[in-house]
Amino acid sequence: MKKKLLLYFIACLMLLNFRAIGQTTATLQGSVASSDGMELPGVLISLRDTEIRTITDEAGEFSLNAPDGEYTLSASYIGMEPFSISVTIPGDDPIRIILKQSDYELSQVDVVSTGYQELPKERATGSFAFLDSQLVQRKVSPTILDRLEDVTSGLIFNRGSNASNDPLSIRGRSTIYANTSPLIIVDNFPYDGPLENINPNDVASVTVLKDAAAASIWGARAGNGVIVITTTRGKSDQPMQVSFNSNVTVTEPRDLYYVPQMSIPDFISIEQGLFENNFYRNLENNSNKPKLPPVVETSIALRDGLLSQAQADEQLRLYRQSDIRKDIEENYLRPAINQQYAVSLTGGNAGHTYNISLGYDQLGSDVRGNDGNRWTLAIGDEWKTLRDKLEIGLRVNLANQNSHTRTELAKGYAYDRLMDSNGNPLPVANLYSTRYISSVEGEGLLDWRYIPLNEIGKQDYTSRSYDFRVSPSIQYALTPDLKIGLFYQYWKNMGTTRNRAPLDLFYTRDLINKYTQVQEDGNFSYPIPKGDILSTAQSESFSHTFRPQLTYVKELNSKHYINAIAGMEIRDLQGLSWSDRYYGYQDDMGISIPVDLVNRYPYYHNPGQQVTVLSNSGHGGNTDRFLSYYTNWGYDYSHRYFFNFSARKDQANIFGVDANQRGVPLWSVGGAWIISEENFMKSPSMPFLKLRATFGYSGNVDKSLSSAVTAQYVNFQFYDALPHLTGATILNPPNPDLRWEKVRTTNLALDMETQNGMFSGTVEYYSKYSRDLLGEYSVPSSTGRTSFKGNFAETQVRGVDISLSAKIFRDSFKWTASLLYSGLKEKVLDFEKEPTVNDLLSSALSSSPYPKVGRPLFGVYSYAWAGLDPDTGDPMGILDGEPSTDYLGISRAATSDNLQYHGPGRPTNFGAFRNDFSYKGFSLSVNVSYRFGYYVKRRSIDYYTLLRGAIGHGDYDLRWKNPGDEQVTQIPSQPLTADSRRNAFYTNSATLIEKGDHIRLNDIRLAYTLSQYTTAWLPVKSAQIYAYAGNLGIIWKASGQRLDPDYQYAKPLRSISFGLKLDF
Amino acid sequence: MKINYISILWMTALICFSSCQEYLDEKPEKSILVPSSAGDVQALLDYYPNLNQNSLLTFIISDDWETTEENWDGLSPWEQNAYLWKTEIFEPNTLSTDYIRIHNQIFTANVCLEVLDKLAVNEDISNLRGEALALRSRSIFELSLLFLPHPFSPDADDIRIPVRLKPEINSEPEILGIHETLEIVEHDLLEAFSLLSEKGAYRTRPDRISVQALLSRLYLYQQRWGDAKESGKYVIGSEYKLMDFHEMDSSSSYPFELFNSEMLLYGITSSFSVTASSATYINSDLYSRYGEKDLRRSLFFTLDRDSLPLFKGSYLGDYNLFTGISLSEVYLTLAESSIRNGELKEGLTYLNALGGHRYLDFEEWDVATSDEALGLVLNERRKELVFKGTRWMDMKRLRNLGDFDYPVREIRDEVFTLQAGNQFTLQLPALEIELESL
Repeated sequence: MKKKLLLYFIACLMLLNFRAIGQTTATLQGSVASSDGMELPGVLISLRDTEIRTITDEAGEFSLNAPDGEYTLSASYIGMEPFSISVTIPGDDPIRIILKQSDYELSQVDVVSTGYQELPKERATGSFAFLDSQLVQRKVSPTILDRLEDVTSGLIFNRGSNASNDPLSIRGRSTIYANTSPLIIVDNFPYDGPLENINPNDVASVTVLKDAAAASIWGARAGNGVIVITTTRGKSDQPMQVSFNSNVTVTEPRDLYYVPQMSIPDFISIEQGLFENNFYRNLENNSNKPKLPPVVETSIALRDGLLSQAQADEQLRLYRQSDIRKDIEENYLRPAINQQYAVSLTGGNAGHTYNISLGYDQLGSDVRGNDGNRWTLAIGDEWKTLRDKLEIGLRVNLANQNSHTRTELAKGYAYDRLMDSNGNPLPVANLYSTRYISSVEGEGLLDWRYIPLNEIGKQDYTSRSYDFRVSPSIQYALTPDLKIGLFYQYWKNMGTTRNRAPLDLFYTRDLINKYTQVQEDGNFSYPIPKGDILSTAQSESFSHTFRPQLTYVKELNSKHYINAIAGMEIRDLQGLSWSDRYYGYQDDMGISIPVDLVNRYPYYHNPGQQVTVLSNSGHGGNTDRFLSYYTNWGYDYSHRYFFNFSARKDQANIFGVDANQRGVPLWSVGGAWIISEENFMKSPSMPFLKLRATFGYSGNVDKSLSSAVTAQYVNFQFYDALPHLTGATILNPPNPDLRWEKVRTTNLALDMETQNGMFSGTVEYYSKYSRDLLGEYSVPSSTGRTSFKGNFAETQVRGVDISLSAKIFRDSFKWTASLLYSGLKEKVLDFEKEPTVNDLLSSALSSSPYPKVGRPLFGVYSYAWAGLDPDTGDPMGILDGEPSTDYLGISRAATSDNLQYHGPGRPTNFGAFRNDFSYKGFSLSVNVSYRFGYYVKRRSIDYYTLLRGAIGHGDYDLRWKNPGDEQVTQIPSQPLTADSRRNAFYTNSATLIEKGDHIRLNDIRLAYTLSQYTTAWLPVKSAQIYAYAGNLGIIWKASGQRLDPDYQYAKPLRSISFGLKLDF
Repeated sequence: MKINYISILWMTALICFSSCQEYLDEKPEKSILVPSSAGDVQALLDYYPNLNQNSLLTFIISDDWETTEENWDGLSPWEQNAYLWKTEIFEPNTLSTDYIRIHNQIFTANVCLEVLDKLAVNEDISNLRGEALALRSRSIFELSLLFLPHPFSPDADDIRIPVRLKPEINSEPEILGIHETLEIVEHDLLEAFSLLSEKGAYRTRPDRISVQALLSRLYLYQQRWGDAKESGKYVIGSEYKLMDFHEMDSSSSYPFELFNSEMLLYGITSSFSVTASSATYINSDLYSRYGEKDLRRSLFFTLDRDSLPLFKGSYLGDYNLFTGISLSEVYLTLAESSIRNGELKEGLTYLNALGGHRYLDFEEWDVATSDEALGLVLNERRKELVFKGTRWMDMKRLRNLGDFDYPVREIRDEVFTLQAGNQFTLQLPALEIELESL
């Protein structure tokens, strides 16, 4: 039923398109061809100063009706030079028009979008990075955001351990603790949903707003830059165009061997040594019955006489040969396969344009049994009527994303065996010691063993999200110059996760077992009943955005051109979430059993712990409200001088703040001068030269703070004494001076293009100064807090963005080279809290910054390194100018100022170099990216955790063993005992800091395109087959270490895609 | 025509503007609030996992326990230092979680008191004010036991620490010596007593009985024997009754139940990493004092595979240590203060009352001299209050009274003793001193 309705709806939208064109008095006929004699369909034919227009049919022919008279007829077609001719109606002969190929092939005017306005890039004063559809569609991936990587000037994807909180930065980071993500605009409205719900195949262009003039129209949320995504729309005067795109991507499975690990026999001897030294004695006796490594269990059994020496030796021999990574690789992993299908219809005539697109993605996983998919549907319609005075638009987007997890990777010790030599699944220790598990065997509990291979495909975890957006708009021209528009968007997202853990899983059996109670008569009672455990979580969010706006466009004497908008915006975003859990659930009958969530029960395995049954119920809700007023004025004199002013005031529901502090007014000004339009500069060798400058403010806010004391109600933990009471904790001490953060940006830029577009490029210099940033300072603990947040930090980013493009060959063999370069310098100007030594030492791996005045937000610091002690292989630092192994002394003497500072922890010079070649139907695009000027911290052997029983890094094999080794290795000897100070010194020493500089071959795209113009037999207008290979690897790196500096923990996975694109 | 449109727009904007402040009053998160009602204050004070928590530090520096070298190796540096009674316990550049938490408890109480000041006084508000004062006093007293000398020690006037009695972060702290600190504790407890109800709804909330118990502890520390007695008597006159250990099941892995009839105020040690370790043994000398007929020997302890004694007698009924205040402590305080006050007979009565609930075939103690009686009482106190968080206070005051054997600990053949006066008053973490600019 739903499907039928949908089809009906689509059909209606398409019918609306067939609108009759007005009445006529005479007919003019003609045809259009290219200079090589090919008929050109789809050429726009119009009579100047009238609204009469048409397009050529498949044979390149046209006819139009017009009242009698003299006209100028013009013909335009993308990639061809515009052509015009005088005609008289009625005329005699059909007109034959020949269009010449344009020098600026496909140099369609780039129209950048701010989300409020669209303007030709030529007229812009601000800093925009523009990605056309070709660049957006270059990469094969299921999501839009990663397609911006290494093709967008000034934008970087942060990688490594410090990147988890801000995966993406535009021109550095302009805040410390507030929101770090750029504002994402989709089709003119802030996008509230998950970006995974946007099908990149629907994206027509992306504009990144980098400076204040570009972004200040978004005001208080624009401090981190703005990414404006515009989806495909129908064009007027375009016959219905159908495109189809499909591809399949194969990504290699994760590499479990990527981070080197010490050899298993070595590790086993360490465990044996620890056992000899009684290290495991506490754990063996621990009332929680914790699991112990198999080697230790074997040693215990041998000690207690439960195994003979020969049996124990045989077990150890097996362990030495085992590796859980091998078993996981064989049983769990596979290449991940993604498939993508997208169909779109676009078209339009003078009064109506439309687009419909449908996408389906099958999202694979490298773990057997896990997969996902996504459906998207986008419908857009725009109507113009009442002599184009009234414009009505409607866009509807639907997305549905599903993922299904059936398998979790096995957990175990490094040499645990998941199967025996005959391939039979084996149990491995999980949570409890194998001694304990076998001791309770036969007591009538559920099987308490964990047999990983038996659980493959047994989990039933689904997550679904439904996303719906509808945005109607209406614009009416009150006068020829003044338009009033009402824009509205409603967004709704529903997410649900459902995790059914059946009795097949250790997780479920374990919960039931450990809550099992022995009654006085010896029988069991089950506070958690036997059956599946079903956990659910739901979320529901919606937003309303309403924007009334006036637009004024006026051209005077064809010299003065004014373009102004003013409006207000109301936004209300609300979310609710709740979760629950059901025990004793039976999926086939849909029934669960109520449980006692109030009383505390002792655990079966450890009666010393009394806990309630986990209810897993939770509730959350949030409301984000904004009320904004904005205006933007552009003035253009004689297409040479441009001036721009914009202002915006935002108010938000910051909690507990006085009304007058809720808002922030932000503004910007900009100017541009097209020098090449001046008579004195007119030169054929430099047809375009433009100078731009802007200045202004944008903002940011952290809504988690408040000017009043805030508290939060909390439920107590299931192990607390009175779980049913409700408590509250204090979140924030009061901060009466809370303000918005402000980012002041200055941007200077030069755009140029040489003759015939041979070289073109943009050079921009910017300076971003952020003040009133939320910063933190340490307060003595006697205040009840350890630190306090307030608006008193300042940071600065200065940098250049350069993008250059050269058309090296332009004939039948074409070669275009594009270079992106960004260089930036970040500096903390003011921050009251001096970071501690430990803060700075951890900053290379920390995702929250530890600002130090005069240094970048993310810096890399270490203890100075003086090599290894030649006699003992101990790592040596420097104390009082001398090599020393007094680690406590070194840490006492260390201050935040005398630590060794290596440099920034994030790239300061980066960009990409892309080469596009084409010959006949073939095209090849190769993108190489580079990152320089930063440091990373490498991991190495951690003797402290090794000597407390955790397997160590592969550097262990290369350690100092005998005097003289210090000549060839910098890896310390193994200490006798777990020495935390020695270990902390080594893991924080300069020897583990590496330069991050590298050049990487990002990807290669190869395509072959056939078109009807060149291949008459082709049944479709054009067809392209393409292949794309991603994450191809490092070409050069400064560090001699094996690992990729940007990927210290997991390997970047290579992928290859093949696809087909058809245009009908 | 055009004017009309614009005026309509203006009207809309105006209407919007007037109602927008309300529109922006909505709070951004459901779960957050500005505490302003009695219910909010009750919820803040009911956050017992924080407010009723006592320091791990107090446990580590007490001589009730000992551990193995291998286990000591695994302790964090400050725990290692505290175990060996080093003068500088906290590592450079680090804070102390215990110190932070005590001040956070004081801060929470301060916030509650400030909110309550703005509310019209009624019975509920008074009661809440009493709870906040009692909890704050308990925390301040704990702070003084760790970081200030005993009031009668020779260096009593030399050391002062910062304490804040207002929630504002920018307010200047009071810099208090031991005498002023204990005055505040006593004053607040007395005020709390006047405000509170006789018995709280939950054992996590202070009431008149537990406030008197806290007062008896304070007076005992201050060597105000008469006052200690008076407060103690109030407590034993209440409905709380001693548990009869004859009726307890020593085979149970945790013989006592949570909220048993001796628990006057709930208290828990901040971390179980050390206290619940299977390598945290009872001081062997102390263990040897429990005779065959002492029921506590098998109710409090269990022997591990190597026959070393582990503690299982927590009044929380699990492996978390109970460190609140118990009725048995009050009996012992009564006995000791009576004897020290010259009322030997009366003191023995209290001691015998307790003994009757603790020994098999109990024969009442009867001694002639107060020295003998004191010996008995202190021995019983040590045995009864083992792992209940009072030992450090007792070590401090007994050293001052001259009834103290200085303990010794040994790690890797190196011997560490608790001897010097400055070892009894811990130094604030160096970082705190720097931040306070003291």
